[in-house]
Amino acid sequence: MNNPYVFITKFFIALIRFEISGTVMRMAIYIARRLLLLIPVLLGVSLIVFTLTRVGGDPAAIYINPHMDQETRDAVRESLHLNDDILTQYFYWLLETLKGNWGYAASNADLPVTDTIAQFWPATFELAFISFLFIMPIGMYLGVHSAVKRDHLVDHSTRVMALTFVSIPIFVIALLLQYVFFYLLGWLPATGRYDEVLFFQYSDGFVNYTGFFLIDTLLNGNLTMFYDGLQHLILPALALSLTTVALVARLMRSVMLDVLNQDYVKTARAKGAPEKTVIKKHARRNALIPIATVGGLLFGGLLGGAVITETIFAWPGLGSWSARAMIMLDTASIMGFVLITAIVFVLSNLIVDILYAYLDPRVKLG
Amino acid sequence: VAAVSVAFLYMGNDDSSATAKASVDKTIAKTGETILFTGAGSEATGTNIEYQWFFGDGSNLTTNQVSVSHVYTIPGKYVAILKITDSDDNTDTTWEEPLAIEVTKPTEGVPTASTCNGTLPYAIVAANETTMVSSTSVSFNGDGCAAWSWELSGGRYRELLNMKYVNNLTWDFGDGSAAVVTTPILVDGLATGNVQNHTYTGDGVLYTMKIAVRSTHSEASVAYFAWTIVVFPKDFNPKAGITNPDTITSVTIGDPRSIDPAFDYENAGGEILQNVYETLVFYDGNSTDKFVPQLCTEIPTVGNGISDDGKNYTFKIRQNVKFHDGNIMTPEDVAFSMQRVLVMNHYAGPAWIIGQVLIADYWSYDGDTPIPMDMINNSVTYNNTAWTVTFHLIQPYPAFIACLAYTVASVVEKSFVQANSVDANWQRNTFMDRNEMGTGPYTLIDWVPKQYIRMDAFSQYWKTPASIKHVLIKQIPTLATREMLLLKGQADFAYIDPQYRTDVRGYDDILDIVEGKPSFTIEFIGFTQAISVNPDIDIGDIPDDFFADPHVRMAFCYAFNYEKNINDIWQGTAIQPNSVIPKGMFGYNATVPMYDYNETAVKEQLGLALDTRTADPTDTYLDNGFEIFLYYNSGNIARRDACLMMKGALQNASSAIKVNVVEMEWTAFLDANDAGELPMMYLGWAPDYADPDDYAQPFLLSTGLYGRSLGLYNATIDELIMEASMELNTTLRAELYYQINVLTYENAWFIWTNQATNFHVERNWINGWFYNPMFSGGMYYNYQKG
Repeated sequence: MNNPYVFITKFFIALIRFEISGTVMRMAIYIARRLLLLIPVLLGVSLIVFTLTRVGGDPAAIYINPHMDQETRDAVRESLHLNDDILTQYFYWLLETLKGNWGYAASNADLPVTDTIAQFWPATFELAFISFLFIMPIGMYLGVHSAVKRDHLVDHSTRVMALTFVSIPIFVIALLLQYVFFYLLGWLPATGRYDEVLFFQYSDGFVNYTGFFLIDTLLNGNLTMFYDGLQHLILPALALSLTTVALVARLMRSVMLDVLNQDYVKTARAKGAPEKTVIKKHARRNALIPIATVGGLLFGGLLGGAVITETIFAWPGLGSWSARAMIMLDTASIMGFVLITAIVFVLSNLIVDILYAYLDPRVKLG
Repeated sequence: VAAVSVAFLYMGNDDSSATAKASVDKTIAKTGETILFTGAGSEATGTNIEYQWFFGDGSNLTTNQVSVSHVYTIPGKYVAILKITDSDDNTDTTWEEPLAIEVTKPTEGVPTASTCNGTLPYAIVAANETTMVSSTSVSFNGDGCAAWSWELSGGRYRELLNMKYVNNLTWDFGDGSAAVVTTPILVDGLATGNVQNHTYTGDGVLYTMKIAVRSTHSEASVAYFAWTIVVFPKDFNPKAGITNPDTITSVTIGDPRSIDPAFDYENAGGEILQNVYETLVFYDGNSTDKFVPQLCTEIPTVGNGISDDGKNYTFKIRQNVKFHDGNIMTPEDVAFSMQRVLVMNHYAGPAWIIGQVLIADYWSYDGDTPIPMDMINNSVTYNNTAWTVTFHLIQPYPAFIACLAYTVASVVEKSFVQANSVDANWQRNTFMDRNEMGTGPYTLIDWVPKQYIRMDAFSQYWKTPASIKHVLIKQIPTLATREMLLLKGQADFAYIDPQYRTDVRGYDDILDIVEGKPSFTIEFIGFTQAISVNPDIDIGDIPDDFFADPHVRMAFCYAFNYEKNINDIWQGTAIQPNSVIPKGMFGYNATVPMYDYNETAVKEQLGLALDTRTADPTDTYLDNGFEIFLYYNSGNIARRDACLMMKGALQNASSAIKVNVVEMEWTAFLDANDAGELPMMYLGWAPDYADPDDYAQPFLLSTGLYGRSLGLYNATIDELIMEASMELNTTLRAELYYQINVLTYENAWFIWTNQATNFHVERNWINGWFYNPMFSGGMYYNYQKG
């Protein structure tokens, strides 16, 4: 993760060394080409972000923290070439950004923006990942069943559920979940990533390897905290999922209905294929293509952090941080947030593209 | 060997039909002082009620009287229990609410050369646990015990208090086991590891643990200190149902900006600072004008520490105080901490609080022009052998002690700062923003930004270590979530916005609420006596000296509906101030007159106010009317509504009067206020240190912050303010402030609209919380849980 270029290079070396056979090779080239295509996209994003740094105020302010003395400040200005023409400025800005110098976050105690992202991103990723695990299988399952059992109980109840959860604002859902599962029933914790008091007892010798709490607790062999971390994930993940599950289910249903009316499904049925095979092999697989697109965008969106959910559950993720940065007009953090969001979106789209190739044989690899 | 003293209590099952309730007239007393114990409020059947008192020092008393008195002879920390038996033989014992009584020795001065060796030693023991279930091991630490001696030290003879002059320590655990006699353990000349562990067993018993300290000079020279150890009955668990009994959790909003005492100037950081750092002096309990020594051993007074001209303050520094890394605090650390504030002199920090007192022409220095180093070195001097620190003031300033109680004067370890500073100039640095090295009762363990701060009790604290082991301050942005956490017992304190305080009412069985105590925040309306007219800001048809006429100002003072403002707009969370000095602060005087809402008086005063716009010298504003614009900052609904009420009252006086209420964006509003461009200034003021000078100077002095922009000038008031700021006699000083406030009233310079009151909510298993408007949040050392 540290350096994508090393990874890509190693990947190509591996390709050449092992002379990977036909399909896999073609797939690899396909991925490589997609990766190359990312470069202009990211350059476009960088232009937008660069413009952002030149809107109002001193562009160098982003790279200066209050603890720097005058000499260091001058050196920062020097390195940004602020007196040169705009293209040169862009070049050096890009160089700094690629070197990992994203400035200092006023919204996070003036720590470097990259450190800040490293601090908040794992929490957001964990939440997004678990939510995604809820959303996709449940949404798809409900969608397929609603389509197959069209106008039956499953279909109607899914529709009612979908409409309900789409219409209720997420802060109401979040507070209701807390009220029911924490306050009334006392089954699940309400806030944070883990129980701090429990952590005090079990934190002796705890090492933060990755910043991902679930992974770290496992690496530390600390099952008590792992279990506690899982419990803390449930309510925020549920709040994030409920609205989107409904969307995925509705989409899956309509795509599925389309597919079920296609000639090849009729053919399959006509030739006497069992209903299970028809739905699973012929219909569902084809319906997955648009779902993959939505899923990719959804995951990208989830990784950008969820402001309201994170705020209500006191979840220390990107969402609450970026909201704070915007309120404080912390340009460095906003810039960092836009960059990381763009990268995440581009990468999740890449994954979607790869999934396409797997799901749809018509997508040309060559 | 001291006598073994055991007080056994028969416990058994209490009947529910009797309820014992015990209280005392004082919880802190001196040895020999009479304490009144009363069982008033107990519920029992019949008239023949037996009160059985267990005082915790080994003595007990059975009586039919509701109240008894008792005298403790040995200093210590005692717990007293009452058991009642009524006519029907119903019994109840106050295990749930034992009385805690702290008994101290009468204050003694430092002995002289001739009396030194004969002076009694000093006894004190720390115990990690004093109320417990059976079979609990208690650790007693006697490192604080010491004896006096007249010794050669640092090249001269001095009186010294140190454990090396202790001959032996006798530990009597009070449960019948043999007393243990130990000789002092010293490491590098400091008492270290004088610890005894003892396991207590029993079923509803009070034991009296006692230490005897004998000096090397004479076996008869012996001092005692005692602890009541409470072993609860087997069928009673005091902590049952309490979530995390060792931890206090506070759910709140707002993360500290920094925890560097020389830089941080806001409440969230202040809460951490006041628990991990200590100042030389601190507020005495809930008082805001009485101080107790903290890192010094006595509060200097004129003749004893303060020079006769009031310009030199010498503090005797407490010895054997340890920083959190175990190093001993020295006078050098104290002086360094103050000097560091002045070197840094951060414009956004609290440096000015001590700077203005210690540095001549303080306001001429800023970030670009640092205060010269020799000036700083001369302003605070120290003597490591005499254990003193002296402050050299530029002029007498009686509020100086109050300034030193603010977190800016926290003592931080010199070697720690220097080891972690980027340069020798001790400038603000990221490390000190995030780390601490103080002497306070708590150490900072973990600070996860925007999530939580964890503090643990400091085991080597110079007083008894805090009873709450962990403090957890969590950031929970949503009010509803904070309320759920509080009601569920996951939080002990929660920040509840005052306008939502009804949310937590009606939970008397689990919550305690303390409210209505005056804060030190004053809201006010000032009249601009010479408006500097800005063509972009409409002021109506009034002349720019409209408010120079005292009758106009009085009319406006009478036109403000104080009662409605407080009851309807502030929903009862405020009181009406009578002057610039808030209720509860030194200098407040309840007899200062104040204006009330009076529409007749409005008319009367406007009828006396001559209209300067016309040629006719007899025309008044009541006859001619006027148009005026009142401004408030956008979003501040309370101020808008208050202005609208005033509009109604003024327009009732005459149909020719027209009042417009207009909103203005906050920064523009502040700028216009500073420039004196608005007819009236509607703002609030919160103090930095609890002294009336922090109000009188900015508000009433002609050269003060508001005095200047409002164009106030009264030679007598100016003179009185300067006199009061330097007056050392508190009675005289209070009288001066009274005169100032009466004069301000007569001049009708301001409308004092409201003084906010507090709102505090906690789980009722928390004990020891009290309100002091000068605290920034919790003072966790004072609290117990369960």
